[in-house]
Amino acid sequence: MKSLSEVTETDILGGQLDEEGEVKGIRSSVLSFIRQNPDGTTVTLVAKAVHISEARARIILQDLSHEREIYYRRVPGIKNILYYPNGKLIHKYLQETKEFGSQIFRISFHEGRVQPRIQIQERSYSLLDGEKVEGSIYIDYDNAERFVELVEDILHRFGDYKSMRT
Amino acid sequence: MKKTMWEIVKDMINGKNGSNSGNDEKRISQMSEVVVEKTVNKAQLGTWISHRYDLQSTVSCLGPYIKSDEDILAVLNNYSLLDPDQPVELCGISLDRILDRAASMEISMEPESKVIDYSEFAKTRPIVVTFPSETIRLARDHAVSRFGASFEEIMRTVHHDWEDDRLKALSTKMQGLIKSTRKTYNFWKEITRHQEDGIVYSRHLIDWTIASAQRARAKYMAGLTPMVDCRAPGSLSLSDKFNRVHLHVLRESSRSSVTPHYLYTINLSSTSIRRKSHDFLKKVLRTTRFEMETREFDGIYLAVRKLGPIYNDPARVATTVKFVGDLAEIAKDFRLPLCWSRANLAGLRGLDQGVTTSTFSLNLNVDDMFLDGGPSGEDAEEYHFGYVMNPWTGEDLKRENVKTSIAGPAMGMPEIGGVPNSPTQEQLDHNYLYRTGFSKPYNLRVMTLLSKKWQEEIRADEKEPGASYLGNLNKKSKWKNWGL
Repeated sequence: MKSLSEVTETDILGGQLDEEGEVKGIRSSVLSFIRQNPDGTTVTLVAKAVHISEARARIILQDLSHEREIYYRRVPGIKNILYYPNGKLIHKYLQETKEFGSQIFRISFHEGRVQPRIQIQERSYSLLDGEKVEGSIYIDYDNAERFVELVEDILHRFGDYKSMRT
Repeated sequence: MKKTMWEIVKDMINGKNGSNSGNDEKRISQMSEVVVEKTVNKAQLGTWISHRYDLQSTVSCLGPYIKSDEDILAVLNNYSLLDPDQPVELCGISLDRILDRAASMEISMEPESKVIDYSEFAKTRPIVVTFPSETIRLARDHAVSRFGASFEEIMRTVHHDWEDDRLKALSTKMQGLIKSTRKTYNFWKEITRHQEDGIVYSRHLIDWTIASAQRARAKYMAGLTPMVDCRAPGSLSLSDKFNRVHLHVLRESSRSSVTPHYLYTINLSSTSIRRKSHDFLKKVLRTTRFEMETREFDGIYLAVRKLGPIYNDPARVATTVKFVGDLAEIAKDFRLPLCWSRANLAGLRGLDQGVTTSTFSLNLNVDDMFLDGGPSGEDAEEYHFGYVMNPWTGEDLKRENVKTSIAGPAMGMPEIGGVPNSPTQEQLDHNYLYRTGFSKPYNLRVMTLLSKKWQEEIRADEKEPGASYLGNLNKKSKWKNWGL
């Protein structure tokens, strides 16, 4: 057995080192593989690339889809589901989380194919379940201001509606 | 003038610091800082800021350590005794129970209730989730079964799709490993060799610590790292690696969820605190400084296992104070907080040395946690009532002493406001009611008052108020050696 000082960070993480010498876990290896294949990849290919079972790969892919790191779709004529990368976070500074009572929103800027995209994620927290993602939407950067105008407009309308009712 | 961390972040985004993007990614990991407004010798007053959570709390104060469902009950029922920004440390080993109790209190709360719900309680204050390393090292039955229950419960949120049997099996295997490697470091090696579902146990363990902290809405966390002990020189390097891996996994998780700040964790065995081990302590300090220079950690967390054997020996007390002071210097150089866990009254001496926050256990225990049983026979009954602190003498008083004080001229413990100074007859008859309704709230109030008094004295330019207070305690107080 190894001595205490011989145990490495890679041993602790049970992963391999990436190009930058950082320790890489299975989950991040799957994510990297998906990002290296922007035209889509299958469970079988992921499992082979990361050396895990297809069942394990499917679970990780489901989790990553749930977290909106990736997305999937069925392509007509192809039996398997294809998984694609969602644009990765541009910079940690471009991510903000705010709680409004029981609702938690995380807004972040992600890389898009043509232009940056804003992700608005709704999350919830309970003592029993912890924090989880309820759902999210993406807005292209070019449409962001118009989206804000739309929200303001509908808020305005609701204000009018309320004042008419009273 | 030094830039604040937020200014550094802005410069990085504007490309002003001239470093490459890889370094930017690393440097931006440090998202908390201490802004000092006043210093008196090494002691400091100011603000401890979390940029990630937009949270500000007071530097240099004592906060409660919550290790059980009973502790959270005592704190939430008496939350008005705490300041809104006072730090609270939660024991990760029993976090499932703590949160279950908090949840059941939320459900049973009446609209006009004076009890605060946990979510509200956790919103404004630095909640720190930590993991006592002695649980693994000593492998006591009670501690291991507590770990197993918490591991099983919290890991449900990590592996949503796992069947109950599978989680239980993993938890049982982990518990078996802890027990079979008792009082050695083999657990830390074994967990890197065993796998479940293609994932090594050590990764499962780290996932559990992070999921625990997230579940508790912790703003800060310390990792579950091997005990650092001069008798096992490799333990320092192993602890350092576990710290780095915690940080790595947290960074990975931060892509998809809000993660707590990570404090570089030093779980130090008290056997390392003696004159002969000065060189080893210097190595601990060197390693810590090196890690702080990476600007990846958000502070330092120190837990000294078993302060009990130290406080009878003035030389060991002096070594501890020196070590804590040196560690605080490192934290100060990087504008980061230093948290000293479960130091109880010694925490006041720590504040003198520049510690940012120190915690105290509500039952005043400074020895190992989760002991099996306790004394038997006649002593057992009294043991379960625990201790109450007399703030003027620094003595930990048993129920029989409290009864004597009730019969005396003061008609109870010293009057400190905010809590009753004597238990009811019903509380005197039932240890659970005594602890939750009297002794723990009283201890909470005492420590909070002492913390405030310390701050007032620093504002008045008093030097080392903690040491003066401790030095003036009654001879019977075990904390007297910590004073001047």
